[in-house]
Amino acid sequence: MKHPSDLLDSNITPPALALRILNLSVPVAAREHLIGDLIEEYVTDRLPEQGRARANLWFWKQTILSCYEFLNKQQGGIMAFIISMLIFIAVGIMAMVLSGEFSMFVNLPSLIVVVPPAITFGLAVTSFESMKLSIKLCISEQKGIPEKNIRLAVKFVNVTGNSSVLMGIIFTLVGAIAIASNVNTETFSKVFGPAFAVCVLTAFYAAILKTICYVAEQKIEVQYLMESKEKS
Amino acid sequence: MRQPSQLGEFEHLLLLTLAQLKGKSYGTEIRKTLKQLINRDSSIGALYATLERMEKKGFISSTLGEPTAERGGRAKRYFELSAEGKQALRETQQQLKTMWQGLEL
Repeated sequence: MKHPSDLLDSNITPPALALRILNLSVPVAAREHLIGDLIEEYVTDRLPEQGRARANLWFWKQTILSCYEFLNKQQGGIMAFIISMLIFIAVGIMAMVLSGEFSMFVNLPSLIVVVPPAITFGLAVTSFESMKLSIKLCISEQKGIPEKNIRLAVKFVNVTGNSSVLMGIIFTLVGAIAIASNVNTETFSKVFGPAFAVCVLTAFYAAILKTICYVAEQKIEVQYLMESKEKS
Repeated sequence: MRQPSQLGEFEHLLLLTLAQLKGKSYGTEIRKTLKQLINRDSSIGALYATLERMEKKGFISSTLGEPTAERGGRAKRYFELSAEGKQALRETQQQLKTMWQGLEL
């Protein structure tokens, strides 16, 4: 099936990225008419009168103002979630940089033993659709989603978060056992420090993923399950 | 006793625009009329957010139109002033008349 915007000549199509942002940020109830009005004014008035560059500028201005209107004023809870996550990431990066070198907190094998298995466990318990829905529920307002699907999305986030903690514990122990088995008195002072740091990084990544999953789980529960119960 | 309607400034302007347009009108028409009449350049997001709010309050009603190619296959949504909306406008006009009485600025 053709996407509605494919009905337009490619020479008169508004900026694709702006359209995508509008599709994500405008609530379903107003989406079709609002975007339709913008495209109509862009095609019939702005492009012929002002040229492509100024028409695109106008389209972007309307996109940003609409995002502000709907995300900030109407989807304040979702904005607060996104902002809290950004603050968490920014503070984390700042702490890492201030404590020495950022690179000492980066270890790909430690990341690989925590994140993919945790997500796989989440998928095994629920489904890929539940994973996609959990992301959608956190970053944009969704309406008309059956409660069962929302509960499955919550379950995905819950299992992923808890699995990440278990992965962190298991692989930190694996690292500790490996260190204990291989270290000897001659090499202890040289080897123990770096090896222990890499071993503990597994628990560190697990704690980060668990924090994000915990906040996302609470967010979905409060916004979609508790509020719908109160309304009914 | 029923409290008189409390309209926000933009709500008031949009209801008056719908009254001026006499009948069903959609977002682009409403924005253009606002611009022509009082040179007010409102964003499409603010317009729809306010229209939706007023529809929930019962001041306006809306119906869906047909999708057209110039809108990328998207349908129009036509808005119309309801009886409650007309009543709210009359009450706001009365409140403003009272407030302006005896004033010469």
